[in-house]
Amino acid sequence: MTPLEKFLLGITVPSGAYVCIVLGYVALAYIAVIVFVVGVLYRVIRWAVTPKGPGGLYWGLYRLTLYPNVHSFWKAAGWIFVRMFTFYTLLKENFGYVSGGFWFGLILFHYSIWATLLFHGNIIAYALNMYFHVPLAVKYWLGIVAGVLAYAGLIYLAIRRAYVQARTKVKINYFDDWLLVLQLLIIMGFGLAAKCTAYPSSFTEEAIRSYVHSTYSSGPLAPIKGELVHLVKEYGSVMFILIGEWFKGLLTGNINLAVKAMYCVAVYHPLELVHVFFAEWFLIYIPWSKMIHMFMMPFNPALYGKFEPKEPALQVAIDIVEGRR
Amino acid sequence: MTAEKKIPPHIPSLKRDPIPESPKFEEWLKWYAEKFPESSKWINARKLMVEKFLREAEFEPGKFVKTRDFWWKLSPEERIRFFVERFREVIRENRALRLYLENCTHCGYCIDKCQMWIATRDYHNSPVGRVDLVRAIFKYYDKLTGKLFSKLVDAKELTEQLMEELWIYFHQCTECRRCAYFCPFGIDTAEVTRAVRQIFAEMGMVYEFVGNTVRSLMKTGNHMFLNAKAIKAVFDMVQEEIKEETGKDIEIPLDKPKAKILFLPSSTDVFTNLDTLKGFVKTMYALGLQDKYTFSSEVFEVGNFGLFVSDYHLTRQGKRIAEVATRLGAELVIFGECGHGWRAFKNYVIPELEKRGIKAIHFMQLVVWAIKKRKLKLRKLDYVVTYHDPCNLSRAGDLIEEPRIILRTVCKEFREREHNKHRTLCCGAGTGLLGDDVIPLRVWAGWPSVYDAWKTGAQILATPCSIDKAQFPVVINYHIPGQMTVKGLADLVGYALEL
Ligand code: SF4
Ligand code: SF4
Repeated sequence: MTPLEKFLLGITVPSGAYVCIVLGYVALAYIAVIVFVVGVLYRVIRWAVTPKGPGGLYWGLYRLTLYPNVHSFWKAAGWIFVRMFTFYTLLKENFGYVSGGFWFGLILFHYSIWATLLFHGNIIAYALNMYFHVPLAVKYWLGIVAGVLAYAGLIYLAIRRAYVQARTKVKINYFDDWLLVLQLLIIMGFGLAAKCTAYPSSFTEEAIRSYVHSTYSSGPLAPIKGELVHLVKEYGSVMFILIGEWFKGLLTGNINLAVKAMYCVAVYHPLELVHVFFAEWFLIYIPWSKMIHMFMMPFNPALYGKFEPKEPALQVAIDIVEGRR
Repeated sequence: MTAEKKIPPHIPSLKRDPIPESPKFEEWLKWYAEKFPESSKWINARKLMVEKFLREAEFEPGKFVKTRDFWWKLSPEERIRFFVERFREVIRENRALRLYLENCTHCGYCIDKCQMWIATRDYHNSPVGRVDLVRAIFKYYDKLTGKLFSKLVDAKELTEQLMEELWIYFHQCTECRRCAYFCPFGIDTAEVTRAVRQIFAEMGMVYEFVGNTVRSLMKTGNHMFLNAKAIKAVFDMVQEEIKEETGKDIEIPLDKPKAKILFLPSSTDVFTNLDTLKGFVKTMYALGLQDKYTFSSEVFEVGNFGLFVSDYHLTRQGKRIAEVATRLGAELVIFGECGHGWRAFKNYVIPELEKRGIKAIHFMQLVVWAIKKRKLKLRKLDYVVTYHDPCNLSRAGDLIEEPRIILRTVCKEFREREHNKHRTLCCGAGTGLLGDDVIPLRVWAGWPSVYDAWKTGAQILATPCSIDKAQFPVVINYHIPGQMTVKGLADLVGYALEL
């Protein structure tokens, strides 16, 4: 057990807060992950086991392949991969439109989201004692830039959504579409705000010290504010460490640790608390909403099918023409 | 585009809109303003109440039709119940359908990719708007949230009115799959259309033109009610004409036993597309295959309207081809010119033939090989030609380069269209939207493609598809009469061949 863990476990949490945190950040966290994993597996397996159609055919067809020259599994997989990661069909011209803006918005949004999720992965790595050290300024700025870009992408996509409906007069926006946008705005907005406010202004010795002393001079972490200076020098922020300890508690089943780490987050970084709470609900929401789209492409028969090569049949024709048959 | 030739602001428009480019733009505006609300009347020929028809088209209870009776004998409530029950069954049995209903993010990117939306600017005539009609039912009957918050998530109980809309809009989708190519996820509206039409067909509801064609297909093995005698009569006439043109007396083989090659033409090749037939005959002769191939009066058809009706009809015709080829002892089947037929052939018949050890190719693949090996003596025709990629060749049939090689070889100049290959525009009559009752829709749905071709300045619009060959002349004649001619690829090969 690290000295920090030992200290956190010694904190006293008011009983009302303890119960709330157990419900909102332990029970709900477990439920969210279980629902997410089981839900996604359920959906994906359901797609996989749903038969192609009567007689094992797609309404009488052996395949629904869309692309020409796809004669192998790998080529089909390649197209799916390219579609998933480049969104290239958006750059195909149609009556004067190349949806460059849409494409850029999607790239901005998705790649920035993936980047921020990767950074979140480092928190789990911390919880597993596998923390990957990144220079602190790089870590801070990359996180903020990725967050801002993802947010900008999201806002652009939301505006575009409304614009397309207005332009084409085709109703594409329903309550569930806006609910999704709203959830992302909240989760990403609070996450970004928490990130921006939870770090010292720079990573010089002096800045870290003055930030830690002003932020943590009262409340449960006050007794170890001297230690916190060292931890911030190593990990960049106390919030990062607290969330890491929360993960550690959840992963190891040490509920007490998880609750107490989250209690400290509540005291010092309430914005993060909102971010985590909505993220938990979002995990539950993903498998039952159109967010499931991210797992869809490998199951799409229009994309994964393959044709037989024409050469063997052509060879028969050639043999007949040339009198070998 | 001149100032007055612009889509008015209350109608959604495209950046480089093809509709105002038509000389008939004023008529479109009038049509849009006056007839648009009436568009539901177009696809109204649905009451196929002739027992004979149902028998001949094999819409028989127990055999194909799953209702306990035909649709007109059902009360509206029974019809709704049937549709809902069958639809829920189909969702459980059909992976593609489930996937497409569950995964649209409503990004709207597909809307202006659909030529039916371009022609009508109608909400439900866009891919997403069309599928949303069934998605609403899916949500209502299959999703808890749909039942609880139907208004919020656009879940709808099936009503007579909604059933009517399903009928109309799923019969205005030409299954061209353009939306599937553009959609970031590859959501294939055509598969949803096929599922909905299948359910309608199971209730005995089929669009009249398609229904009659299928009736012929089931009865005669071709789309035009042809029998061996009629085919032979045309063959004799074509033989005479070829003799006059070339001096060669080439017998056209029909039902020749023990032929190594079974050749499948389109039944329209003995009606309106005689030059296509001549192209086939001359090419086979030039390749020295005269004694090795035959046409068959039993399966005188490359098309397969079963694709637009039900899996039962599609596979029924496909199996018939395989049976005839097997009985003949053929080693190879050559497919002539047809778009949708190639999709059914490539994706059902070829695998079935393979199971029997028989190979199959497209006529164009053979010609390209012959060109490369200099097996054909071809002169350059004095034509400037452009090519329309039939949807089912480019987006369902693995055939994109061959026609281009042929056209570059046989024509003075080949000009690519702007919207080609994967992005090709449907002719507007796919899925057999060829009835006179849908002419207003056809001429505008086909215009984007014709306009694309017209812009190239080519005099010939080449296409290896019988539906195109029936549709494009109507569209050209309406918008730009006399300014372009439609030809099959085989027609051009036939003209260029020196025997
Ligand atoms: S398949 Fe073609 S006609 Fe049907 S919705 Fe898609 S683009 Fe439109
Ligand atoms: S492009 Fe695809 S995801 Fe977007 S609205 Fe159309 S079908 Fe839905």
